[in-house]
Amino acid sequence: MDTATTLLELGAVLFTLGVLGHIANIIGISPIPFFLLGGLAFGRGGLLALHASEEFIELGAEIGVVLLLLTLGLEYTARELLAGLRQHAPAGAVDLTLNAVPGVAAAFLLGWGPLAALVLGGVTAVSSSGIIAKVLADLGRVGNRETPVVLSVLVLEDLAMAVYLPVLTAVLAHQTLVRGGLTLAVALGALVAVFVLALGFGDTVSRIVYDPRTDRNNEVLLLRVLGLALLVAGAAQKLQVSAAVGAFLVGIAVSGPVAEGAREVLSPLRDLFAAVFFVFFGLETSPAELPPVLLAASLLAVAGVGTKILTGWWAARRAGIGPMGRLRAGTALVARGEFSIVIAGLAISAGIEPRLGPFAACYVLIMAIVGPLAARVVEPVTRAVVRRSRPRVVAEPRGRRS
Amino acid sequence: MNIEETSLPGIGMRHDFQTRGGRRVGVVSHHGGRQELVIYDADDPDTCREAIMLTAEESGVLAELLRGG
Repeated sequence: MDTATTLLELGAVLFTLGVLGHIANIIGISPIPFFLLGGLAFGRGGLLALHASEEFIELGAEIGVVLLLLTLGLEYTARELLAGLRQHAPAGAVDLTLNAVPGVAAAFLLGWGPLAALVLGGVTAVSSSGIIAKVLADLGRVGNRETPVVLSVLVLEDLAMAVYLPVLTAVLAHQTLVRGGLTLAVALGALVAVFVLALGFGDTVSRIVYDPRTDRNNEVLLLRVLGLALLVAGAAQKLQVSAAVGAFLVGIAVSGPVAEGAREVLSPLRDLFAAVFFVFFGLETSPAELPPVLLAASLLAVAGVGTKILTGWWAARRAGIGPMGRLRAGTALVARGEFSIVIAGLAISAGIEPRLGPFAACYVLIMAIVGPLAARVVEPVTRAVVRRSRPRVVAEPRGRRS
Repeated sequence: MNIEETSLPGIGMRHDFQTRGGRRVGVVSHHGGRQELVIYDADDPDTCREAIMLTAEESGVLAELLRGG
């Protein structure tokens, strides 16, 4: 294929994504479901098949995962993660157990076997930090009392991912128990090493990327931090520890003003490649495969909304927050997105179950739309319900008195 | 005065306190350097009624005004 076709295809895809993102902005929902739909429209079984640009999009999707996890790691400091682990470990355990169960159960009910159960458990367990952070900011809830609870749950999910992804990668690669154990040991060792490095020598590590004492040069900062992340991600992939986790660890290790600068210069790049990542997942899925799994995915979505609301309610109550705040925390956690797709993507490239891809696509499409919506309407709806039932509650004691 | 300090992982820090009149006011300091002035609901201390994002310059001006400069 010639360069002209590649450029034309790529241009068409990116421009369409821009238009879709604009529509999502106007409606006020996350662009992720739109990007997935965009991917479905192009590619395999879609309206317009892509040929020349597919290779680039595939590589772009890999870089997208690295950038998503790198910028997520940059958001956190090692200290915050440790504090989160120390104070909110029970909330994290409840969250992951309660929300993995529907996915695991669905895989067994559909007869897809234990490997698919491991995958679907991850898909349903992990909320979307990206969507939720945006929803909290948009709704002006950053100052709310329940917000630290929501954020802690997300922190623990992200930490759990750093253990889960290497395990999943190892299992999907059909490794023996010994090699799998070795992979896990490498991953955990790297995790501990990064924490020790970040806590004790954060400045030194950050200086590999950039010396904060010199004037900031965005070009140098961008090239060095992206280069380092790709190097570590590649090395991690070679060790079959998962590239995503490698990038996440780099993000955690880099701290302070360097991390803030890196976040700034990486943000447009992350937006571009994250969009490519969602499109690629849609490209790999044929729209014709969606209807057969729609009902099962919808049922799983209903369960997923319920278990996240329960999690939020429980975790917020534990922190001494009132009923409305508990509901807000629960609904805020509903959205699933990038991580569910990362997990499903790993399973698809391992080729364990052909219906898993469309199923995960349906599930994330629903959850990425329902999540922000639920967070938005929970307060007005609850108030309306309470108002309607209040007259009865108030009337009863009065009746007794007279 | 009792100032409550809460870490917001991924966002920054929140400091808030209760006024003598019983209202809660706070400041969320974002990692990027921006600050957010938050004012809580009079009846429900869990809910933040107003959240006003301030640039570094704006929060400096506000601090000076409050100080009476």
